[in-house]
This record gives sequence, C-alpha cells and structure tokens, in this order.
Amino acid sequence: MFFIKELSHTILLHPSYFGPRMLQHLETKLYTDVEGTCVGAFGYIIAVVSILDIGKGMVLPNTGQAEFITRYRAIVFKPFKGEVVDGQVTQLSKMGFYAECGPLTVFVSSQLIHPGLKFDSNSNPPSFASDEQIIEKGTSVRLKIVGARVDATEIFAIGTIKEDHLGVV
Amino acid sequence: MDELTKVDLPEILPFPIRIATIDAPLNSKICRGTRLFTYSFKYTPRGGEIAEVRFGTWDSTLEGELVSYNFKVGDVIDRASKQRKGATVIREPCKHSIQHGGLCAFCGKDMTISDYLDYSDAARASIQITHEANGPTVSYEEAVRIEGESANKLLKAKKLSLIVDLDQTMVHATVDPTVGEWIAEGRAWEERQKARATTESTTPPGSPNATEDECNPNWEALKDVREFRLGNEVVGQFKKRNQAVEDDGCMYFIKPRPGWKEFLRDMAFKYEMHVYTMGTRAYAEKVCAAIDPDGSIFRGRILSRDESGSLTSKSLQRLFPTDTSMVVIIDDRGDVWEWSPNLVKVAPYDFFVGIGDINSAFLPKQSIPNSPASPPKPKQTAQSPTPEETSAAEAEQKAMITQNSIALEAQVEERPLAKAQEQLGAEGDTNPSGGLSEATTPEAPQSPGRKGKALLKNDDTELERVRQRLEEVHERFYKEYDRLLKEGGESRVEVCNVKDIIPFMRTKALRGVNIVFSSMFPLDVEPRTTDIWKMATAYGAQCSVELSSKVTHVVAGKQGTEKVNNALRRGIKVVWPQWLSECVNTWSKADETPFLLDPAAAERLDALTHGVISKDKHHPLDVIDEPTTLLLSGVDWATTDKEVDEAMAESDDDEEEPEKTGWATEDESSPPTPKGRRSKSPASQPVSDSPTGKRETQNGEESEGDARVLLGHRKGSDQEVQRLCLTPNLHQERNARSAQP
Repeated sequence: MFFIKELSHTILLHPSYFGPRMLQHLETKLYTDVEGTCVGAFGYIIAVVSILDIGKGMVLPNTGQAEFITRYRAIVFKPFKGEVVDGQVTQLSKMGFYAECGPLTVFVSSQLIHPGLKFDSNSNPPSFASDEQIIEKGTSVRLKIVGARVDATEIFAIGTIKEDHLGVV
Repeated sequence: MDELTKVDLPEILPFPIRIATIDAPLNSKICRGTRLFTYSFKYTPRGGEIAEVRFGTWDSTLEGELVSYNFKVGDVIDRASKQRKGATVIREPCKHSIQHGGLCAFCGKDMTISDYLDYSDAARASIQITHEANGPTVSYEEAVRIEGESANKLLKAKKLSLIVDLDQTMVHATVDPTVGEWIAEGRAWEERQKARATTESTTPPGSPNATEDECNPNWEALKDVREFRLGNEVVGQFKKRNQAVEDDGCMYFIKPRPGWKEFLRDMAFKYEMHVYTMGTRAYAEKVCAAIDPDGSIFRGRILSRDESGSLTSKSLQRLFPTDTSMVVIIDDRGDVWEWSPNLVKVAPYDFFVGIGDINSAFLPKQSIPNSPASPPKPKQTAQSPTPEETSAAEAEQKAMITQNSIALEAQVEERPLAKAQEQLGAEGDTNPSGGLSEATTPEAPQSPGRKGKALLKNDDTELERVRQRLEEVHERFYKEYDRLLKEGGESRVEVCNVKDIIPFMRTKALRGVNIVFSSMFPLDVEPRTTDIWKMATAYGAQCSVELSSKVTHVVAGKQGTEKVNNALRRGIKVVWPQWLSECVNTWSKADETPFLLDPAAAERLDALTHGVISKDKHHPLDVIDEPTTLLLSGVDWATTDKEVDEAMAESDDDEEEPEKTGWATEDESSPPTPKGRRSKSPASQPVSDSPTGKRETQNGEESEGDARVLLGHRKGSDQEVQRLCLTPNLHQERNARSAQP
C-alpha cells in the first residue's frame, strides 16, 4: 500500500559545497540518498514529494562538515498481508515464479498457482500454461500477498494467484 | 492443506521420564509454546547420592490440532521406547514444506523467528531444489514429490538428465592475450585474402605475392573461438573512484570442443541438459551464451560455483536431492564427483596448450599430469593418435613452458601460449612429433609455403566418443524401462538405474586387470584414498599394494623402482600412467605396447636371447633399464672403455648424495635403502637381481653413457663386475652413508 509520510534525513555536507549553490546541492543529495531505498519500518521510499524543511546547517567541530537535518514528505510503499498488487513476471522455474511489483519482489509458489496452469519446462521461454492462459516472463499478473518479511534494507513477499480475480491481467 | 504430522520427543529431555499430567486435551487447538504434558524424572545432583524427583514440561513446537497421544499418564518413556513410536500426532494447517527467503511459500509465515523452544521452522525445508543460490528450499518429502514429478515427465519424453561440465569438457578457456593477438592477425589475413581475391580476378593467377603473405599458423583452429570480457568482481567499487579504468576485467577466449554443436543438439533430444561448472555465475552465463545462443538447450539450468556451495567438489545432491537414478554426468575430472557411479568421465580438452582449467585453482592438480615428468612419447602406432597420445607428444613443448600458474593474472602476464609457440618454432624441423600430429589434423593441411607450425590444433574427437557412450546409456536405460512397462512388478529405480548401467559399462574396461602402482603417490598417503586408485577401481581394475601372482600390470611413474624391476623380471607388463588414462578415456583396455615403460627393453631382451649382440650370456637381464633411445649398433666400444676409466677416475665431488650414483654397494645382508629416500632421486636405479641369484650393479644416473659403460665392461665375468663396484672411493662412500644420521 502507498502512503504519504513525513520523514527526516540527515545530510552531512562537506565545506567545499558551502556557497551559492548549496541549497540546490542539498536537494539533489536528498533525492539520491533516499529515493529507492528501503526503510524497515515504512517500506520503500518511492519518491520525495516535497521538502518541508531543508534544515539549518550546523557546522560540526573537528571535521568542519555541516549537518542538515532535512524533513521531507515522501511516497512510501509497504506491502501488507492480504493486499492485492499488480506485478510483472521476471523469472520462472518449476517451483513457481517471481513477480516484480515495483521495487518489491514476490515469489508465487507453484502450489499457489491454479492447478490448471502447469509448468512447461520445454517451452521457450519456460512458462506456466493452461489451455487458455499462459504465464511467462513479462506477463502482467495480479496477485495477493500472503506474507511479507521486512528486513532493514529489503522486503520480500510470498504471493498467491490461486483465488478469484487473480492471475493474468 | 491439513496434514498430519508425527512429533517425536526431543533428545534433550532427561530420559527416562514419567508422564505426570497431560495438559493439552485431545482435539484442542495448540500453538507454538502450548504445554503438552508435564513429566517427572529422577535427578541426582552432582556429588549428591540421593536422587530427587524433579518435574519438567514439554511444549509444542508446532501449531495445529492435537490428534492423538501415544502415551497416557503414568507411562515411563526411555530412549528406546521413544524411538519406537512418535509421541503425538498433530494436524497442522501448513507443514511449511516449501520456504523462500525466510517465509513459508504456502502460508507466508515468517520462518526465522527463534525463541526458547530452540526449534527453527526454517530447518523443516532445507533442501535447495532449483539452480539459483537463493531459490526456494523444500523439505525432504516435498523434494521426493517434485523429483518424482520431473522423473515422470522425463520418462514420458524418453529422456534422462545430463549434467554437463564446461571447462575442459565442452570448452577450453584461456585469458592469455596472445590468443587475441593471433585472432586479430588471422582476421587481418582473412581481409587481405579477400582483398586479393578481388584483385586476383584481374591479375593473372599465381602472382608471386600470393604465397608471400602468411597467416598465423594457429588461425585455422582459432576461427571459432569466442571472446568476451568479464569484469572483475570488484569493478563496482572501482568505477566511481577511477573513471580511467574503463577497460577493466580481462578478455576470455573460449574454444568450444570440436563437434560441440552437433553434440549438444543431438543430446538435447535424449537428455535434459544441465550445466554444472566451477566457474562463476557470470562466466557460466557467458559461456552458455556462446555455445547455446538461444538458450534452447540449457534453458537457464545453469549451476555455477556461486550456487554450488562448495569450491572443491560438485554434488549431485545439490541438483537431484533424492533421486539420482536418471542422471548422467559428463566431466573431465572424476575426483570432484568422488567418482560417482553416474559419471561418464571424458578426456580433458586441452586446446590452449599448457593452460589447463582456468577455474580449478581450488582443486588439486590432476593425478596424471601431462607434466615434464611424463614418459618419452609412446611410439606412434598405425591408428590415428588419440588426444592423450597427442598431448603426450606435446609434452616436450610443454616441458619448457613455465609451470602453469592457474592464477589468471599470471597467465595474462606470462603468455604461456606465445612462449610455447616460440618454442615450437625454435624446435622446428628437429621435432618430428610436431609434424606428425599436424599431419593428422584434417582441418589444418600443411601448405608447402608455411613456415610456422600450428601450436593449436583442431584434432579432438572426444565428443564423438562421449556421444556414443551417452547414447548407449540412454538405450540401455529405456530398454530396461520398456521391459518393465511390459512386465511390471518391480520398482523403477531398482531395475533401470543409471547408477547400475554406467558402472556396468565402465568396469568392462579394466575387468580382470590387477594393478600395482609404483612411485605414483607419496609413501605417507594411504593408497586407497588416492584419486588414481579410485579411478582404476571405478573402471573395474583390481588394485594391489604389493606384487603378487595375480597382478597383471604395474603402473609406474618412473623407471627402476623395486616393483618395476621385479615386475619386469616376472614378465608383468610395466606401463606408464598414461596407459591408465588411455584406458579410462577409451573405456577399454588399451594396447599396452605404446605405453610400455621400456619397449626397447623387450626388444633387446629378444635380441639378447638370440645372441645377436650380447657377448655375455650370463646377464641377459641387465639391459632392462636402459633408456629407450639407446642404439647399440652404433656403440663404439673403445670409447666406452675410455668412459669407464673416466668414470672411475672421477672424484667424489658430484657424489655427495650417495643414492645419486646409483652404484649399489650394499651386500645382500645390509638393510635396504628406505624407499622414500630412494625415490627422491628419480634417476637412481638401485639393485636388480640377476637370474643366477647374484647381485648385479648398474649405474642409471647418466642415461646413455653409463649404460654403455656397463655394457662395455660386461665382457668380463661376474666377479670382475663385483670388484669393479667395490673400488676404494665407493667404500668411502659407504662409510659416509653409514655415518649419516
């Protein structure tokens, strides 16, 4: 699920950047630092929407670097158990397939695929196929998240397409 | 998905225990940590004498519904009865038999939670079943089920599984930049030829410059070499800091084995192909892209050392955890597979001479190296040379190459190929073997104007041999299977099992052969654990430690050892280890003649008994250890006599190492020299018994001259020779030896 969330990030700025373009530099630094990362508590930070407060630079003793505590608003993505998401199939094996839902990788085990869809290792590329449906690399699927494990830097989820209205879209 | 699970009592309970109360009633819902029963046990405190009764509880590690208990209150359970029956049966909503990334792939529950129960759900599915490193893991039961499914699929398609090794089996790879230069040269030459072809149509044929332009002699064989660049694994960190290092990584040159295309294509009909290599993932993918461009043969079934989990061995269980009865392996190394019964060993593909396997730095060296120590090249027989023979013929060239360091950097710097080519050029006409093997290369006909000789040759036919074997395995398997389908009854694994078929075919090779090894492995190594021993056994030979009447062959690493001499005396065939690898490569008992330790000796023996050259009928066996190159017809006996005198007059300077002289000075009664010391000096030829029972002496240190020396002097009687040996300085030497600690 997507949220808009207020977050903060600490930027250490080298004195060589102190100058007229400092603010611009702080902004780009914030974008490159946080966008696309994963925070265990909030999920993936998809995009910074706005910068609320770039912070007052505090020059630290000894190093001369300035510390900016930046507050910003960002779109975060956190998967939940039971959530239905759309994704794209990236890899298939006899055990199931992987789908990418944005930054999140979901594994769908072959037991959680409708029994009508059989894995065909001899097709090229490999696929799960029934008479009317085929799942191969690149197919868009709608799946339900059965469980997710949130690490400090990564989220991994298990999904199913063995329910009504799930599967190839 | 409800399934019944039998739960045993954990080992750590203080058996015997007595059930005090059952706390969770039947058919009740339990979860992790629910107390199932309370027990009492006798505990004797340390130092105390009276046992006291203590109590404990057993908590459930699983979640679900209690179906039954196998005990009742008051029962006493000890270790033996614990093993007989499970404690409880629990109906679980999910057995977590497939897990991925710490989650159950069925219910999505986190499997990595650990608590006081010290039981990890993650351990319930520990078998890796896919080729990927971080793929899903499954439990044993699940693995059996999945394997059964894929086995059925294969049976239906009349296929078996084939695990293919890359390096030196399907391809030969090198990073030697010389290859790149040669290829560039060859391409430039091709361009010039093309340009000339267009101009030639206008100019009269046979213009002089047509023959002047010479192509690199290796170009013919290098034409289908693929090249790719593989970055160092640390490249990512590098690039930001140092933009100049754009050209990072090194160039790999991949030569597919001749016939690879047809081999892969045809095998894919009968086998489901997997790749299992000791190279990195990136390397494996690049090589597969080269030999299987559209991915239709391997289909991503690639296992590299990144996923293998071991750098020194390959495990069939990694890919086929439960059922290996339909798997065939082709690999150039048997040791990494522990000579598995599924293995069809192939002769290593050695295209880039002297390079070896660039991905086996972790492995011990091959037991039968084509090293400088290898024997004089076997006599060329009528049949076309097998790869092994060719490589034996090349041994001389290789001998001069610096000992191949497997480290790639070293290879890039040392450029062993360039050196070898130089060597080859320098040897030129003096080395007839080069010309010989080249003449047998159909792809590289020798043009009269060509100066350089090709170091790299397209003369490998091993894949054809492998194909025949694989086809035979497949045929035998499905013959049995068809019979089984008709008659029914027995289980499939028992009747048609590759593990029976391959050893059956393999052991035919050396059946009835009994081998003794001489100076093939260090003395401190248990012979049965050595690779060469296992290899010989895998091919049906019996191996013995000592000579006996049953022994048919002695495989010797060098001449003149006690076993060799004894065997020669008894008329047992003594062969170089290359004979064994030839047998292994051809899966048949190879003809020993080209590999005899000393074929000349046999001939000489014949000659001697006919009294052609020998004036000394008492010593027909003395000549046995002469070098092959000895030509007796041209011996100048006067010179040899002179040489004897010189030899006798020589000072002790170069005789500090007593064994080196090879003059056996011991009497029958004196203790024999320890074997280890003897084997240190490879040329030493200690003592051989003459048929008359008298001790004979020989000097093997300097090959030709000294052999002649003795022959020259054997005009005299036994006593003379004996006296000759006991000259004063040799007495000294004996004293010196006894003085040694």
